[in-house]
Amino acid sequence: MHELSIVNALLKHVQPYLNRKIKCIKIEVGSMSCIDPERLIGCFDWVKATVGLNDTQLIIDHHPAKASCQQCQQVFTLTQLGQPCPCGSYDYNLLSGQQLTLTEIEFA
Amino acid sequence: MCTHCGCSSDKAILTEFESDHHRHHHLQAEPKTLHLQQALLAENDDIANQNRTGFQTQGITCINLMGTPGAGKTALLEATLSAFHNDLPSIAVLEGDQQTLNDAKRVQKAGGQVVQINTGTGCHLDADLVKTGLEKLAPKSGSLIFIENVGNLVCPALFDLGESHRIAMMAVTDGNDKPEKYPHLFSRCELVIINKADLMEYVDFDLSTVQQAIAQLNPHAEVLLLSTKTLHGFDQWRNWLITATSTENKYSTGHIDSIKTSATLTYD
Ligand SMILES: Nc1nc2c(ncn2[C@@H]2O[C@H](COP(=O)(O)OP(=O)(O)OP(=O)(O)O)[C@@H](O)[C@H]2O)c(=O)[nH]1
Ligand SMILES: [Mg+2]
Ligand SMILES: [Zn+2]
Ligand SMILES: [Zn+2]
Ligand SMILES: [Zn+2]
Repeated sequence: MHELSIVNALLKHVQPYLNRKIKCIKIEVGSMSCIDPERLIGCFDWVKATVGLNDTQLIIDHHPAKASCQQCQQVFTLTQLGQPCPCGSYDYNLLSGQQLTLTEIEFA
Repeated sequence: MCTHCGCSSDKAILTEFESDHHRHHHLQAEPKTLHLQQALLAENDDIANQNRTGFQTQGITCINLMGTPGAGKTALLEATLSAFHNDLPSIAVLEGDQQTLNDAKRVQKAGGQVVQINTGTGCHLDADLVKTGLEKLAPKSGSLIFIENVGNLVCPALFDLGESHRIAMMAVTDGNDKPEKYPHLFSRCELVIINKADLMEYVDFDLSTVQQAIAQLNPHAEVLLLSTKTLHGFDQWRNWLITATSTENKYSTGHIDSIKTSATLTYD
């Protein structure tokens, strides 16, 4: 279950701030990151007590993917892999959507 | 901005110097919200880039072989070792499996230099495991390294290992719909191998359906139909490997885009 690896990586990033009480942690998850948000929250809730984050909430900010078409040059929103550009082409580059980023720590 | 803890330094602070690290106290209330931009996989990506640099200084080509459990990844390595040992640089293998030394033993018997990495409950290899494996493997300069990833179509695609080429492998017995069901792996590779061509007539496998699905996910990917039993398609496989290990392609990272940390810090 790779969501657990992601949670472990997240805990490393949060480590320097554990001296203060953390109310919530916000992460940005791209829709093409191949992460299941519910499972990610489940993993976080499962391990958070081990680092004293019992009362901390993990908030996931979903970001749709953006792609740029090689055929018609337009930038469009991609809701799933294998979806064509509105012009019908499948030849495009992902501009965003694979990100897994820690964006905010809110202290109590 | 205070580079020590990321706080905004325009607030009054008291700093005590103890040996070489500074500890300071903020005289005003600490801000409530910290804004960051930290890629969670940045550490993996950093180690992957160290591995990549190591390959480049040693003239090594590294291929990350991913695919369904039982697709024939190990069988492909065995057949490659015995069929092309004269045409290719010397081959070394990092075998990733949750448990057992079975695959490493098979590769060793086929004449490959090999190190087994057991991930235990881990369902994928990461750059750090590969780094440790490489230290044990001690590959010769100029060699070709295959990393046989854990048989899994989901998360191996997420972890950059430092490879220069990515292959996604499935077998005709896996069914037509694998690329559509597991688009992440098939959209982030240069080559898709469809193995067990010898069994095609016994199963309902429609090559053109699969080729079409791959063309939609990844229009630049090549597709090779192989059989490690009959060596069907092995001429094309050999040519692909010769191109992949050639001087101009050794290090070109096909369609691998990794997510980088940008270390910005701001406070509310
Ligand atoms: N008929 C046929 N069987 C094959 C072929 N290639 C592999 N096999 C068989 O498929 C089974 C699995 O092969 P492996 O090489 O162990 O597959 P793998 O992908 O390494 O499997 P894991 O490492 O366990 O994920 C074995 O019984 C092989 O003999 C092929 O081209 N044709
Ligand atoms: Mg194997
Ligand atoms: Zn277009
Ligand atoms: Zn400070
Ligand atoms: Zn995994």
